[in-house]
Amino acid sequence: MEIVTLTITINGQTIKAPFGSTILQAARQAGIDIPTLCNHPALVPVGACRVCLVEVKGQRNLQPACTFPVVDGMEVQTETPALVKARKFVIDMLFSQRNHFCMFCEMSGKCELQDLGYRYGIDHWIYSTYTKRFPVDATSPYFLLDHNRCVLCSRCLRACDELPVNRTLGLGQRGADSMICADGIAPLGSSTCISCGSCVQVCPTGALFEKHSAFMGTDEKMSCTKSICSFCSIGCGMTIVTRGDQVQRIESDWEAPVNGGRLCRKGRFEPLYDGRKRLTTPLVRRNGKLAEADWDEALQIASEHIGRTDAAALGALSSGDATNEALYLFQRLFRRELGAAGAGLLRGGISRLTGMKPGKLSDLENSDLILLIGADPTKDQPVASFLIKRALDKGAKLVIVDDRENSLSPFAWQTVPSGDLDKLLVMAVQASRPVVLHGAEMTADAAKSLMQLGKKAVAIALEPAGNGCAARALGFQNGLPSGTHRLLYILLGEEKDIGENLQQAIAPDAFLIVQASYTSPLAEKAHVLLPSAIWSERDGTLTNTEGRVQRARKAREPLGESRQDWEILALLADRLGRKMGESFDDISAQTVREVQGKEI
Amino acid sequence: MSARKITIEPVTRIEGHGRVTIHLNEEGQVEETFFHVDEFRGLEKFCEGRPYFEMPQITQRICGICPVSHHLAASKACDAVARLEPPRPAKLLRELIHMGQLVQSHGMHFFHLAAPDLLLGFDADPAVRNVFGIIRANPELALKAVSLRRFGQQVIERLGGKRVHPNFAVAGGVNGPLSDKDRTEIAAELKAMTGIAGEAIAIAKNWLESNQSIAEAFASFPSSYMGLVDSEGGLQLYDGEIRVKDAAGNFVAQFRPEHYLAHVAEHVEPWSFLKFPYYRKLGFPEGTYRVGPLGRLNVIDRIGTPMAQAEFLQYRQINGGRPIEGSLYYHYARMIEALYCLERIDELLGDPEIMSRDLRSVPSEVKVPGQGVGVIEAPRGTLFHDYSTDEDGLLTRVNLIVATGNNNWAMHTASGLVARAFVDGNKLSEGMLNRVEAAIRCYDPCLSCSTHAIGQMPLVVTLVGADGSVLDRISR
Amino acid sequence: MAKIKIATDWLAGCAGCHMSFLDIDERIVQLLDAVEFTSSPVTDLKHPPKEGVDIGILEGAISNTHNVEVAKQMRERARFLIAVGDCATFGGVVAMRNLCGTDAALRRAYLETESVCGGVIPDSQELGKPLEMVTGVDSVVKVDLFIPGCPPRADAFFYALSELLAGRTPVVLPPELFLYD
Repeated sequence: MEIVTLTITINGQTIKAPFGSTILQAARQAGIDIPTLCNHPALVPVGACRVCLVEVKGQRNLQPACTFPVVDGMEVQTETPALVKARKFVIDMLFSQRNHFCMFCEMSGKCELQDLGYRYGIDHWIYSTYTKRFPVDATSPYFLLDHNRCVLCSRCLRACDELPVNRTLGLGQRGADSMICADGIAPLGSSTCISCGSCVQVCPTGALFEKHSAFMGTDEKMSCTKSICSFCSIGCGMTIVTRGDQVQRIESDWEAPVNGGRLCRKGRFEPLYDGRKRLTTPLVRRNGKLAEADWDEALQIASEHIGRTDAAALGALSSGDATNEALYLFQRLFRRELGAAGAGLLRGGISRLTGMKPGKLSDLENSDLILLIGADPTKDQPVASFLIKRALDKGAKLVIVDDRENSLSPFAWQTVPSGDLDKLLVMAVQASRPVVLHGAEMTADAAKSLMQLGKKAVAIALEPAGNGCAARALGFQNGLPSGTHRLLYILLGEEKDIGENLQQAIAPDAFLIVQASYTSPLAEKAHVLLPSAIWSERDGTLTNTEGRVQRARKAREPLGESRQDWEILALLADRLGRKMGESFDDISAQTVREVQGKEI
Repeated sequence: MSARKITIEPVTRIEGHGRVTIHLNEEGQVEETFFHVDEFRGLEKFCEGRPYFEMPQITQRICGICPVSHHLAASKACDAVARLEPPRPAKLLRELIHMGQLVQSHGMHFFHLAAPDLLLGFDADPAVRNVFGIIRANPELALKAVSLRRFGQQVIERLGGKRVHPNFAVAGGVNGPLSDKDRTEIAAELKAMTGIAGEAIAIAKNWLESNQSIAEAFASFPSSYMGLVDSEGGLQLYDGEIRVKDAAGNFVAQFRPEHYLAHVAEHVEPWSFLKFPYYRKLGFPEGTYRVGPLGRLNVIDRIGTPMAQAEFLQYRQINGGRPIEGSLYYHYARMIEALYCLERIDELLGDPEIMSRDLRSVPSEVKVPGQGVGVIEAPRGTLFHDYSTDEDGLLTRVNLIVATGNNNWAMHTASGLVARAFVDGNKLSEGMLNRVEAAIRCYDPCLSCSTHAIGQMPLVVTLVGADGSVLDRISR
Repeated sequence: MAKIKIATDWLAGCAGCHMSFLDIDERIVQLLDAVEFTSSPVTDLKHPPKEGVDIGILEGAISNTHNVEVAKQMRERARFLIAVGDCATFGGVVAMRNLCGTDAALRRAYLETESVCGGVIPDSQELGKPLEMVTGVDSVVKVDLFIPGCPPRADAFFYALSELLAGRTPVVLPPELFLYD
């Protein structure tokens, strides 16, 4: 389709704007500043606050730039004395409602209402101070909703609607008493809120703010590092906000290709409240007890034991959440260099559907039928569930094949047990752009039946492990490779523990070397315990479930003596006389070649 | 009904306007005096419903002279509410910012406020009996005074971003590290600042020695004393146990701050918005006590830094080891504390952990129901913050006992004593009334700086008829 | 040239604005060449002289009847009146009392707090009567310049006074000094 370009003038400057854009979009594209408050680039504009009022020649009244569409030949003024007066009036009115006490507000210095007050020199109240006290909703474990600081811009409820498509937030009461409310009346903590935090990130004032980072300093004091979340396999882009080497906040990255500003509780909040005890020094077993050691000693003991163990008796298991570089070095060291029977994954990867095009998560948006099979993304890959619900809004149908309860069932057209898959396929075959989303619970029979959908369907696997896609490409097997092991090396990383089946599979007399970030029952059994860095402390690449390789960046130094997984493995390889690479960049380049060279 | 009333207004605007009324009998002798504190804000009520972790920011707006005291007492109460133990480096940094504040507050009070009386005389011309009089008389000393205050304010600014109402301490620790540059720059000034504190001590000591009879008699009265002590009974300004001693210097009690309600109660008089705290078991007014520099040095056994300890040993000999009662000795005690704070800054900067990045404990349980007490030694005395929250961390109850409040009865008593000793209703002089103010000034009530800093008190003498009607009124 | 006369006073506030003013540090000496402080924390009298001053500065909110009297006297005697700080310009933290009401706040403070024994709400005629509504200064007197901030930075004071001394009338502070916190 040809894009029609219109010509308009703003403040006497002639500019081009595509058909369908608003005055605000056209102005911003041309670098012309129009102040806004309720507008947010990621959300559908509603023209609620009237801060962006502009003069449009021929229009009787001032018009909101955020919703007013451009037409050819339009003449717009954005900062005339009359507009400044009107805006000051609007801002005065906003300040006169509720109580905006900047001096003790966590958001002071990063508040858009405050910025407007500064820009228009609001230095006293024109209207008498508002005296009604509004409640503070602190029931959410992660953030606060202070109605006293709310300007009713509706960004939060639009975010709740448009990003996670959760629709918890709405507007209650009337007039000046209007309040943002959850499920009509419920406190946030006991509402349908899923704590994705989208509302908090878009709030322009101090009405919604995070508890964890409250009063930890203004933005100038913070450092921001763009990275990739590894707590599930979607690979959401995020910004890690740190101060003084401590992570204060995690924000979603509006520009990230996969999530486009979405993030979930697992990615945004839970990592900040991980109460587990970190391992900060290497430990070795002396006289039956784990005792502190330095890296030199720990690596020496580990390499000596590995060196004197037969290849056939070497067991190697890794978390599928580790970076591409760590997984690459792991399989190369144990399988290729040392000749172990195989390298296993703690949580198994899943096989791909044959005969179907591998899809991208972005395919969901334009699909007319989504077939979800053997997966419960609401629990395991929340952002995928947001994308599904977004597609449903656009008219797609959701059908679910699951033998257990599925959290998306309330939104599904049909939910059937796996035995009834064929009935669904009859309908699915008629869809024009079907997408199959499949998880670890998909049975082999089901996979076979799905082949009927043929080439027009695309398939997206939802890997259970954060970096499972790379692990699969690198040849990791599911679980502990068969055979008897006398030495077992486990890269546990940040996982809580290994599953029961694996625990039973560990030979009781095996020498156990564990590379882990936190104390755990498994770590306590280790003979050598190597402390590893966590998500915020590591550099490397991650492969999301679509096969997209993205760069994760370190936002702070590893705690204590802990080191990054790849580095520990490289050091160990060195001890064993196997040179893995010159530097991180060298190893990373090898890894990316290896991962991308394989079909994933 | 007294026949005449003299009103000194405003005396010291402790959180607003305060005034002393002196009621005279028919013979023109002082019958009764009152120290009225005329400001009420209501934080204990309006903070209810706010999240507990906002309190370090809200409550420091109680006082712009010692905001850091409220900031830290609130943070300590927040630690307790959230059941968090701040990492040691955070405690060191909190103590560092506190020391900065004590230096600026003590320094300013001594040089800008008290020195005019000491150096120029109680009866000096009120037009010059102020800091500018000092500048004229001794410009070199005045500039040193400005630099000591600036030094303390800069310590606060370096850590908390602002000199007044900084943002530094949070529940569980502090929000930012000390930079290498700041550590070096603070350390570089310490020697000069210690010298200034030493000069101030010399000024106070010389004055007290050469005016011994006045010093011993002026607003001197027995009372109990209160202050924080460390585990060895040494001076503690950031954290410790609260020790109470009686008028004879006997040990009365020592308790953890969280048990303050068992020991401290407050009395209210209809003529003042400032409450009167007292030691609960002794009742009111028998249990009233004094806090601040004099109170603290009367309860401790020692000071942990060498120069201040040497000075303390001399100071304690003034009354043969018994509590020192004369209000004017506050000035001497205050500068011994300033010296301690400077020495303590040196110790803190030398601690290897002061540069650590481990600055905050984060709750692993997300929900925080709780109750917490935070107590600190503000420049003017023991400061209590006591919060309770619901399970979501919203405040349900706030109780504050501010440092100056603890000295309320003492200021009332001191001004009364001086009025009786010096004020003669038949031949009033400005100097008489200045002495009444000076008695209150010893206690450095919060915000005294903004009033007395400099100069003459306005004087209103009202002649009141037997029926209470105003018969005559003279003011200047 | 005659020195510009300045009077400052404060109402319901915390003294932080005056402290911030002192934070101009050594520049105070420079300022004193051109100005004379009359009633203020940094000079003599407690009431502005009857003959008036060129600049009056008020810190703090209007919270009780005495505050009203002080503000009115300052207005009468000052040709140019500056309200400094969030309390004087907006009501500030003191105005949070409006959200719970003065009576409730008085009851809590003097009757209900856990440490109070046999409390009474102070009501002596020597005391100002707390007002129902806390406001900025401009609700009772006309203000010529507002300098918000909690407190305004030392540079904001210095800027405003320097402008006035140079014969200019500042209307609003430059952006880098215009702050609410």
